[in-house]
Parts: sequence; C-alpha cells; structure tokens
Amino acid sequence: MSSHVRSVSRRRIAAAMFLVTALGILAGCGTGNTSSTADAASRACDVAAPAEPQTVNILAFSAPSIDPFTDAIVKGCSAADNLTLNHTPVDFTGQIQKAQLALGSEGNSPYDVVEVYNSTLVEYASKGWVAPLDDYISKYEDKYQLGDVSEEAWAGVTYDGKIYAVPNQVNTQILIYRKDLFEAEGLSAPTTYEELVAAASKLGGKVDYPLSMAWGSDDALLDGFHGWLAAGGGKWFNDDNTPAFDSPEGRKGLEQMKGLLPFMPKDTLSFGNGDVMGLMQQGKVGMAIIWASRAAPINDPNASKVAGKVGFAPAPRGMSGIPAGENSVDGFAIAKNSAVDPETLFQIVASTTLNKDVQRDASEVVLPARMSVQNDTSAAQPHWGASFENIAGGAQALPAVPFMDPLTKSVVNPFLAKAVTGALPVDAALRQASAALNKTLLDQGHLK
Amino acid sequence: MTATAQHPVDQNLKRTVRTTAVRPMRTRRSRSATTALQKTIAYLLLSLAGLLSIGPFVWVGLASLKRPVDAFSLPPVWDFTPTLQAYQILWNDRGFGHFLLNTLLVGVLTTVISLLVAAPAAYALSRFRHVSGLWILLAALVFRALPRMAVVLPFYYLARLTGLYDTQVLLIAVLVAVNQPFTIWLLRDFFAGIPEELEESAMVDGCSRIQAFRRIILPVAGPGLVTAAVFTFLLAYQEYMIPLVLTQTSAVTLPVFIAQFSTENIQDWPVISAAAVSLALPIVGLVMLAQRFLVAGLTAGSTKG
Amino acid sequence: MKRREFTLLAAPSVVLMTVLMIAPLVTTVVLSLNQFSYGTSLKWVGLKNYAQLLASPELHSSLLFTVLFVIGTTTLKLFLGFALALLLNFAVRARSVFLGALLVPLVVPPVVGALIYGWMFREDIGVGFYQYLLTLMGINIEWFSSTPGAIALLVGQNVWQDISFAALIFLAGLQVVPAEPLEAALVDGANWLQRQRYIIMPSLSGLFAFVSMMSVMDSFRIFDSIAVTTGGGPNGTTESLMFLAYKVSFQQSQLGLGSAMSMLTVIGIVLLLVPFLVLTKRQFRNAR
Repeated sequence: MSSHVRSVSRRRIAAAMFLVTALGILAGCGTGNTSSTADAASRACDVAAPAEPQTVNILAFSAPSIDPFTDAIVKGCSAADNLTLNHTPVDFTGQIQKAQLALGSEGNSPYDVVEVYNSTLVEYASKGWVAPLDDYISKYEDKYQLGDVSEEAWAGVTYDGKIYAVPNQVNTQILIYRKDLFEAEGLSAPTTYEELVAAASKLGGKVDYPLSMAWGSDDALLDGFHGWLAAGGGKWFNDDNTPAFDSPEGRKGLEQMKGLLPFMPKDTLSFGNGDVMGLMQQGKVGMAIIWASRAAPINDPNASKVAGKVGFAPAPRGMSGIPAGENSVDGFAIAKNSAVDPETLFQIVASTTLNKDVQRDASEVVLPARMSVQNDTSAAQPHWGASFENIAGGAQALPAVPFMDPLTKSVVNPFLAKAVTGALPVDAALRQASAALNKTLLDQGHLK
Repeated sequence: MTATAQHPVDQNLKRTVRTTAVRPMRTRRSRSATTALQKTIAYLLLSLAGLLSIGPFVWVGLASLKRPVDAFSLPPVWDFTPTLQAYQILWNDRGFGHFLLNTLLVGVLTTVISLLVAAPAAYALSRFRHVSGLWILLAALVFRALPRMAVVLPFYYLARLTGLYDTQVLLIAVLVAVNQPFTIWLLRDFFAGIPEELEESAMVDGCSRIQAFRRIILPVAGPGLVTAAVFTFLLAYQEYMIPLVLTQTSAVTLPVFIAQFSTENIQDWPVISAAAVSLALPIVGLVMLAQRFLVAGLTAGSTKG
Repeated sequence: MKRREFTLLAAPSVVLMTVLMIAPLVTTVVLSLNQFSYGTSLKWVGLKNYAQLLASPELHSSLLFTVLFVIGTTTLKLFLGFALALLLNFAVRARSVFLGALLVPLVVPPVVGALIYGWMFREDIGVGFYQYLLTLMGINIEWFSSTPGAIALLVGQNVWQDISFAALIFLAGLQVVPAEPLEAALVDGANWLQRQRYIIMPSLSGLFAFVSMMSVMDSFRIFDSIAVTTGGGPNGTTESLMFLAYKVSFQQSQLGLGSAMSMLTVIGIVLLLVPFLVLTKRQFRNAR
C-alpha cells in the first residue's frame, strides 16, 4: 500500500515538472524581443519593396562581432512590405558546410545572403558562387553613402578586381595584456618577439599562464602561423600558387611559436578564440594575441574579472617590421543562384549593415567599416588605437587564394601541431606540410 | 551453453512465460543472504553512480543561474545571486521554445510513423520463416549501424531535387528510414515472445491474420511498443547530422540549434548550460513517467496481457 | 504465415528501406568512384580514391583509434552495465530514483552531453569541476594534451552517456532469470560469485551479445562527441573514421574521397557485425 502511495506522488511530481516546462514554452513564445540593437536596427532598412512577396534566407554564424549585423538585417527588413527574412542559426563550421552545399549545388540556393570573410569570399567568388556588386555600389553610392566605407574594408572583399560583398567591419589580431601585472613588474607592452618572450618569462609565477593563443589544431593554429610567417617577411604561396612557406621565414616563424608554447596552458592546441578570451576574463593569463573583437567582452564587468585592468597594443613585430597578427574583413555576400533579385538583396544588406546607427551600436565589438564612425570620438573604444596601429603597421590578411580556409587549414594544421609540440622537427614538418598541400592542390586542380 | 544460440530478448520472454514465480525467490534470497553491510555498500555504489551520472548537469545547471563572470570559476563561487539571464536569452531572444516544439513534433511523428511501418514488418518477421525474412533482418541490422556520412550527401541532393529541403516532411521521412530498422529489431523480439497459439486461436475463430495482429497481438505487445517508441523517439530527437544537412530555418531541430552557440563565445556557455537543462528536464519527466513501462516492456511483454 | 500476408505486412518497411537507405547507399558507392567537389561535375576515377585511402597513414591511425575506442567502450559498458544492473536489481527500494538519475545522460543529445562532459575535465578554464576535484586529490591527468588521456576522456564520455541503456537491458534480463537452476544452486550452497558466473551470466549471454552489438555499432561510427570535445587532437590521434570522413568531405571538399571513406567505414562495420549476423542467422534457423 505504502509503495503505491509513494509511486503516485512521484508520478505527480514528474507530471508537475513536465507542466512547468510546458508552461515555460508558452511563456517563451509569448514575449517579444529584447535585443539592445533592435531600435537602431528596426529603423535601418531602406529598400524598394518588391512587387511580390519574397523570402530572404540568411546564413550567418553566431558570434559577438557578427550578431549585431545579422540582427540588423533580419529585424530591420522584416518590417518592409512583401519581405520575410529568415536567419539560420549555425556555428562557424556549420556555416561553411551549408554554404558550400547551397552555393555549389544546381538550382536555386536555399540561402540568398551568406556571411563571408576574406578567405571564404575568395573561394566563393573564384567559383562564381557569389554575385559581383560593383554596379550596385556605384548606383547606390550616394543613397547609402558608400564612399564613407574604409579602403581596408573594401580591399578585404575584393577578388580579381571586383567587389563581392558588403563589408561591415575590419578585425585585426592585437596584443591584449594585463596592465596591472605589467605595471607591477615594470614591464611595457612588448613590441618584438624577443620582448614578448622576455615579458612572458618575467610574468612566470605571477599569473597562471603568462601567455595564451588560440592555436587549436583543428582550426586557428594556421592563423597563428600566418602571423609569425608574415612578421618574418615570409609568404604562403608563390605567384603560381605553389606553396612557399617551407622557407627560412617559415622555419623561423614556427621555431618562434615553439618557443612561446612553454608559456601557455597545456591544452593550447585545442583552444579556439573563445577559450583564450575566457582565460583572459578569468584573470588567468598575462597576455594574448587575439582578435580585437574580443576586447570588449574582456573589459566587461558582467563577464570578466579583469575589466578595466587590461591594456591594448599592436601585435609584436617580427624581422620584417610587420605585426604578428592577422587582419580580416567580414561582410555579407549575395548568392548568384538566389531566386531573389540581387539588387533587392544588395539594398537589404547595404542599408542595414552599413546604417550609421547600426555601425555605431556595434562599435563596442568591432572596428566598424564606416570611416565616419571610426572617427567619431563618442563611439571610440579603448582598443581601437591598437587596431589602427596594427593595420597601419602592415598586419596581413590570409592570402587571397581560393583554397585557404578550410582546405589549406585542414591540410597544414596537423603538421604545424606536430612541429610546435616537438613531435616532428620544424624543418621536416614544413617540408611534409608543403608536399601534402602541393599534392592536394594538384589533385583538386588549383595547380597546373 | 545452448543459450548462446538463442536471441536475447525473445529468449527471456519465452522464459517468462514458463517461470512466473520470480518474485518470491528474490525476497527469499534477500532475507537469507543479504546483510546490512552488503545493502549499505550497494546503495552507496548506486548513489555514487547516480551522482556521477547527473554531476555534469548539476554543475552546468548551477552555471546557468550565474552571471558569466561567476559561471565558470574555480574554486566554484557558491554564494551568488541567481539570475535567469541565460534562460531569458535562450527562450526569449533565441526562440528556444520554437525549436523545442519543432523537435518534439518531428520526434513524435517519426516515432508514430516508425511504429506504424515497423510493427507489421516486425510481426511478419517473427512469424515468417522463409529465408527472405532473414535477409531483411540482416539488412535492417546493417542499416542500424550505418554511419550518417554515408548517406547525407544523397539525402541533400534528394531534398533539393524534390523541393522538400527544410521541410518537416522530408526530415521525418529520412528519420523514419534511418530509425525503423532498429524499431523492427526491438519489436520483433517482443512479437517472437508472444506464443503463436494466441493468434492461431483467434484465426480459428474467423479473424484474418491482419485482424488477429491488430486485435490480439498489438494490445498484448503494449509494453514492448512503449519501449520501442521511447528508443525510437530518443534516436530521432538526438540526431545531429541529418537535420544539419536537411534543414535551414523551418525544420531546424534542437541539436543543430544548440550547436550554434558552440564554444567560440564563452559568454554563451551559461546559455548552453541553460539549454542542456531545459532539454533534459522535459525528457527526464517523460522518462520518469514511462520508466515503469520501460522496464516492464523490456522484461515481461507477454505475461502482462 | 503465408507469403502473401508476409509481403503485405513487410512491404511498407521494405519499400522505405529500399528508397531511403539502399538508393542513397548505392549513390554514395557511385560517388566514391568519382573525383568531385562542390559545384564541380563528377570525374570518374575508378578505385583510385580507395587506393589513395588505403595507402594513407591518416586512415591507419584513425582506424587504430576507432578500434581502440570500440573495444574500450564496449568492454566497459558490458562490465559496468552488468554491475549496475545487479545493484539495481538488488536495490528494490528507490530503484526508480536511481534509474531516473542514470537515464539523464542517455536522453540528452550526444552533441550536448559530450560538450558539457568535456567541460568537466577542462583544466585551465574555470569550468572543469571534475578536474578541479581530481587536482585537489593530487591526481593530474592531461585529458586534452596527451593521447591516452584524450582517448580515456572520449571513452568515459561515451560510457557515461550510454551505460544506462546496457544497465536497463541487463536489469530487464535479471528480472526473468529462470528460478529453478538458481534455487538448486542455492540449495547446493553456491556462493554469490559462483551463481553469477555459472547461472546468471550464461542465461543472459544473449543480452551480452545484444548490448555489445549495439555498442559496437554506435562506437564504430562515432563523430559528434569527438567534434565537440577533443576535435581529433592531440595531433590527430583521436580522429575516428567518421571524423576523418567529415574532414575530407566538408573541410577539404574532396567529396569523392569522403564518400570512399564512408564506404570503407560501412565495410568495416559489416565486418565487425559478422559474428552478430551469424548469430542472427543461426537463431533464425533454429526458430524454423
């Protein structure tokens, strides 16, 4: 009898739990949207409404530096007549996978607008998957004040002399360091590799890890190598697209990375940018070379224990005087096989993502593409100075070849990982990486 | 050692039919052979296993109630002001409810259709002794084991060809195709445990085979159907690769939705935690309700009828 | 049962399997004999993709990892699952509470489960609660930067999420262990271990086969959980066959090669399933 009573009450608890969750569903669906950028975004859309109802699908991964612009498009233009906007929530690898499938298949693309950065843009443009926008840019130059967009931003979305995307931001890898620790040790922000190593040595014992980098061997390790390769004056490819990184500069750069690893957490080779940012936020790291878009969260008291204690400087320079950081530009491109009129799509993207209010609202997490916002002192952020110096100092984007990310990345990374951890000597690793990449490029017809 | 040749579940079900007096035996054993010490050890071990099992959920459950700055902090921050911010972002800003409902819809429909398709086939396979039955069974086994990558590209092309990309219809059709081999396997065992005399006597009374199956066999196999339903639902609802490739916005399911938060943005981690909790709770509730049937279904099948 | 009745009842299932499983599989076989990428047309290369794969050290290392993973997870699931079932069978009181707790990881999608399980063992970032406890106890295992550690992490994750399935099956089996031999053994004074070894386990051997079969199937095609925890690291030593296939297809855009990789995995699975296929066949014959 008693066991019967017990089982009934248990069942009742389970049922109640289920009900609460079910009610939660209703509550969740009933309430409206509370995003901070909603206001600016909802006024932004300035598009000639299409005659027929159109649905526009946007493919963009979710990240602090991308969300404000995706939101601006979706929320801004959903109010326009005859337009429905959908955004697919995905992560970055999901975006790449879906973009390749959508743009590379026959028939109308399920996605009309696709988020791109330098390397993906070049790949899609070279394959003819995205539409050139030069005509629309000149037609709408005045209406959307496109002359205000910075040269670096346009350069990042140009391939073979044509513009293939509407850029919304410039990003660059800067040095973010713990001002308080540096001051206590009498250090100043390192400007060269040697100073970086010296500072890291001095921070040893003062903080859990003197240094941290996003060197995940499944992704960003190649970006790390790119920084040190460029800083040493090396390059990835020859003019005929054959690999050129198995060079004295490449070996030097990789040796330098190997020299930095002892100052970093053990699991560095599994780190993405988020991990490095998280370590910074928890005050476990003395300094990091990381994307400037991560600066604001590191300085946010709601998320960070070191808010107000961090300084920003350009990435340390190598032999060639170039900072060991990478530049990138993000923007939205228009699928060539979209069923929607490309001119409408261009208007949607340009009027929202380049809207001054949207750009100003996003300035905390990005360096906006608009010069007028970059020069607006009321929008200025503490990390912008370092970013400007980095860019002016010649920090380089990944080479504009159509096989950089993810192809080169996924072929070369395993060898870089082996070299940095000492599983392979540096020269052997680079030789093998170069040979493997050469073979893959030949196989896939990128080399003659 | 003849037992090895027998198949697991139906062998046990057949046994059940023969040995009904299991319970008295167990109580006697526990009275005679169990000491208080043994009992304590057993409960301690079970508690440990239970703790290890839910440990990660408790930890992220706590994290989901903290501000990002405290969420993941070691040694843990114990005195914190709980905030529902993560749930707010998840449910309001990101529309978790919409994806949850869609996932439940896809999961339930997949389960129902899988059962409708698989139950007759499983019953037929348990009664039909021709070698073609064996081939179907072996094929189903191999399909159960098939890696998703081996079929996703064709599925994507099929979706684009038929214009059914990003529809629940195609997603459900594919999920049914992928999952029903397993449903067949589970159900065949239950049906095999049901004595054939049962439907034979019904058919003597003038029922057709189909009628006998519907009116006599299916009701008896109730717990088995519940068990098969639960596992089929779980498989459909946990699937990641297939919805990733076949959906866009309208038909996106939870595993794909949650992957968007990825690890790139550590401020999302409390949100992922909130999602893990929001996702586990209703299903745990459901499983707790179905648990009785689950064990009974896996155990007894035919004796309950 | 008459053939006509059988055809009628089994037809929907067989049609479904033919259209949505066999047809896609055949398509993949055809694709695997071609070289192509996104948006390029097929170029017939015959068995070149297979030859290239069989000669590649990456395939060998991922095969090694996959086999280790299958052996590790299956053994643990059998042992611990059976142990849990014995405990649960013993603990009549509060059984459903324990069972409920054990079932939580099983119902959560592997992508989410693996992610939070991985967090528990992170060392540096303040999310690794288990790692923190281990460090307090003076135990320091490199879960992400050493190969044995990473394999142990992945095996542990898989066992953590799936163990309750095994326990549930064994528990169900234990409830119907035939009474007579057990009683005879009790009368003869057989101790607990002897009873398990000579009576309980043989009578559950079918269930052991079933649980190992399910575990082998699921472990051999492991992908999701690796992608969100080790990412194949360190140094690619935890790349499973399916992880490699994903990398080749979706990161390196070599769709023909990726299809061949998938087909090799299918062949591998079928080979591993042979004992179970034979078992099924024998059982089918016996039932005739």
